[in-house]
Amino acid sequence: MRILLGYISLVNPALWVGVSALAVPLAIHLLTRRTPKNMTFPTLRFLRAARAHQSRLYHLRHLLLLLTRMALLLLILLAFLRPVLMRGARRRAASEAGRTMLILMDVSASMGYVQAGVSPLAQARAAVLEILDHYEAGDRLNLIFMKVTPDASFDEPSDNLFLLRRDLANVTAVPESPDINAAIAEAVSQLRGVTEGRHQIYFISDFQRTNWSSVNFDQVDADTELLFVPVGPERGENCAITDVALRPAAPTVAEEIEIVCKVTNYSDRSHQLPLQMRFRDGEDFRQEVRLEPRATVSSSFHLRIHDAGQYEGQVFIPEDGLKVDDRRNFVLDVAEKVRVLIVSDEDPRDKETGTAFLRRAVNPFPQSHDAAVVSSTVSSREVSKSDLDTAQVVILSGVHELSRRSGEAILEYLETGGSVAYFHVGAAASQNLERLAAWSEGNFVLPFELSGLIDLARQEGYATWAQANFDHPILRKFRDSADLGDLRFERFFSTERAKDKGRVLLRYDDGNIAMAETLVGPGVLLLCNFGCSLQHSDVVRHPLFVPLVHEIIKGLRPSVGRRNTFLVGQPCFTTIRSVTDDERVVLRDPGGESVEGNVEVNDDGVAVLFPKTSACGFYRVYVGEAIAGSAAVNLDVLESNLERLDMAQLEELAQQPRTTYFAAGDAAGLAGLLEGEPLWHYFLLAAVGLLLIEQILVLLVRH
Amino acid sequence: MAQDVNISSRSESYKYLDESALAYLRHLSFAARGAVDGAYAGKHRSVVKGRSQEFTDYREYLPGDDVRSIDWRVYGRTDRYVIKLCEQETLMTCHFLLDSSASMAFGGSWHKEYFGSHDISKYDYACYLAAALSYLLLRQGDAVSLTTFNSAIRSHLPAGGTLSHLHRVARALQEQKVRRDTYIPHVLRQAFPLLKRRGILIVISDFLDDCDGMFEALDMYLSRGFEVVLFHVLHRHELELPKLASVNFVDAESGERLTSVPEDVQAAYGRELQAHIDTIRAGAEARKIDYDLISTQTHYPVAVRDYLEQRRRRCAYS
Repeated sequence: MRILLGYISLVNPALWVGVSALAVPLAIHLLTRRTPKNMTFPTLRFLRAARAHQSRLYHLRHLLLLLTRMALLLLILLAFLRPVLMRGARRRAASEAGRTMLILMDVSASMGYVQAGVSPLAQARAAVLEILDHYEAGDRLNLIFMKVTPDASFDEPSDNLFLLRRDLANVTAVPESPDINAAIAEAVSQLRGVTEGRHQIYFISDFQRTNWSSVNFDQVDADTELLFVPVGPERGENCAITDVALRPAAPTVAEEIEIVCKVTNYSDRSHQLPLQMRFRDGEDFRQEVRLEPRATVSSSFHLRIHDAGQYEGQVFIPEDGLKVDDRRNFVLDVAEKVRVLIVSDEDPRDKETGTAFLRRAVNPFPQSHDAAVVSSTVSSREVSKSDLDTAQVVILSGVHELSRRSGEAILEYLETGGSVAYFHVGAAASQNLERLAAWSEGNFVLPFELSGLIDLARQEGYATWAQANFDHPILRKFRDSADLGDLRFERFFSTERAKDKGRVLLRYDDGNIAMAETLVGPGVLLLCNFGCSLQHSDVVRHPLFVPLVHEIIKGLRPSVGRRNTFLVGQPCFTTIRSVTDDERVVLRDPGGESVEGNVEVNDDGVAVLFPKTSACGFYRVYVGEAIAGSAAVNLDVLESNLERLDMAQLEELAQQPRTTYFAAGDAAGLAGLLEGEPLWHYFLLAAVGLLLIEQILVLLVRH
Repeated sequence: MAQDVNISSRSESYKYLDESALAYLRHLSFAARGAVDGAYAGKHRSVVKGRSQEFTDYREYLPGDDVRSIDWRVYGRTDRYVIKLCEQETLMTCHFLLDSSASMAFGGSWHKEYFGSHDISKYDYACYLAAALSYLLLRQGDAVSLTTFNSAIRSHLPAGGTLSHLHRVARALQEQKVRRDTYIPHVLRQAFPLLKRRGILIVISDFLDDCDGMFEALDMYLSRGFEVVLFHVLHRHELELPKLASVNFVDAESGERLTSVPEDVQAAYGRELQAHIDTIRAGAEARKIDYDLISTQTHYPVAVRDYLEQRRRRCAYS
């Protein structure tokens, strides 16, 4: 039985009989009170004067003492009645329909953090059980696990607690970063299917600042109550490997490779940790790193690899509370040669075209097996994703009108970290650039506009390069050389600089831009406002041509490993060599289980896409029994920073007009939210205060 | 010269004549502060020059003087009629004004009702005091008058100096009952024509009255040459309130009621009472009136002895 007094509920009303105790001081007072006897007294006028000087309060002090004692007993009685303050989350009118409660439970990687043997996931599980335990007839619930893709127990809220408990018992932390907005959208969608009763969304999470600071609550209906139940530590101590970068990202045989590891300390203490790197079936590398509080350090391993191939590597530090981010996987693709893909629509048989000169500049000795850089040529219509994936640098020269498919393939190549050099040699260049900009949907802005072709050959004139940015890696080697000014250019486009867009590397003596670069996502697009054919310039005749082309290739080689690592929960892909019909291709996840994927075969090789990843490690492509290729999948670094978002900020995010409730960060907090806040200790405190007052009054009465 | 007075010479016994107490006071004397006006020869110096053994001076005979007072020896030598003046020793008259208002009854049977034991009332104490002093005065040959009053004079016993007068005084005290309220200024004015002979005016009261009016009335006596003595009699429970839980105080004279816990008001009450006492004491000192505050807790012979001792010292000093 429970008695509700306004918003205060008395859990133990059986003790109401104790109210009779209130009569004790009253009875004592009445019993000890004597009827005053009449006393004929001569000096009454002095008594009257004496009483006139005393306050009314002084005269009533016995009554005050009595009232204090009764109030004292009343407070003690109320404390034993166990009053609880009912907040809105639990308060429910008798006539009200059942609640619809969507429980959004965070099961991301950070929930697996273990401190003192307890993980936030275990706390979250206990919190959900607590909510389920407070189920009342008419309530409907659903459990949505917040992952990359939200995973709901039911398609709509249900009263099947058995299945909810089963799902809850089976859930584990996944090495993913949660898509909180998607989970909220799923909850809102389910709530909109229910018209009656109160709508509540419970968020049970560690409320990592990195994940929650940009959550959009606007999609939640105004009449939906939001209840936040934080679990786990407010500032968990964690160290993580947050990045592994390869320089160069696609090294070639015998080239020095720098593997740069970033290790971040998310704790308030400094650490000295061994950082180890290990290749599959290879040797270990090890060095010590010192991590200052809340700081990131970079540490590099240098090595050279003398055999081309794909190498699976791991960098790791000693395991801590969050193990999943103490290891980071990467794939090192060591190529035999640097592959340059030349996209050109010029006649490949014509030896005087700019493309022909470029091809010869890239590899002056095509018959030699020792060439470090090799090129392949493909027409703009035939360029495919697999062509692009195998190339470290793509050169566009003499390209006619780009098809949408080709253009989007090139843009995707750029947006995934690829580098493209575009030599403007035809009238189509201007249109192609505009199309690329349009197809990129704002991801790509030209540093200049091509307004018209300048043909100085008719006037028997030419232009030279007058300004150069020698700080750029492509031109750095020409800093001390005056030869760049010797080059003569007869045909090029007049340009109009777009303010603050891209970077200009070279200018003609008439002020037009000769070379500029712009970023397209992580990729680089180098715009060369000149052609390599003899009709455009004499650059191919000059000894600088070949070094210039090689510096361009070197400068454009990817500096970040776009293919070396993928995030868990996202698709990943890799390429392998061509396979024959007899060879069996099997795709396996890091656990060795066979998984499905998309395999795209082309002339140069096979591109394999794993549409979904669910674990950190290597997703491998087996041809027969041998590993033909692999993709390294790692945890999103957002999961490593365990700092909790301040509840005040969270409240601000989930602002009015919604009603929000916040449980204290422990089981008692949630119980307080569900059952009401216990008030007995306040009553006991007040009783102690009254006891002090009573003692003071007794002293006053006595003296 | 003191004469022995046998108070039990008659078969009657009087409540306020306690032999043991009077025996205790036997060797004490009530000294006059200055010359007194008396009709009979006695032990005190008189303001009137007359026939006596102690010569003081001569003066010319004036018509109307008693011819018997002419010193014929001087006439024989000088042929002048002169009269021989001598200092006459006279009797002292002491007038007792005793308060018998209702407030003086405090302490008697009331005490037994509250505390189970009998205690002397203020009136009884005042009577004992008056009887003892009368005994002393009569014993040393002086005359004593007794006037009892409340708001007016209730009885008046003219001055007398014999043993039988002591009995009359004792009987008068015994026959009086306390009643009604007090109005001392009025009583003093009423008594003024009754007290024809100068002497000592002893007022025994609790003085729960208008002090200013009382002193104005006393000024009449002082200007006529009376010596005034005030005995302020208070019960011990007036000086310190009884320790009772709660009391419904009823005014002895007006009947007004006030319920209070004595302990609660003791301090403030004490201040108020002390202020009243200080007012009387200051008024008395300003007029060179003897003022003696006596608690009923003090055994009355002791109180009489102490007062007489102090008085003797003052007289010797002056």
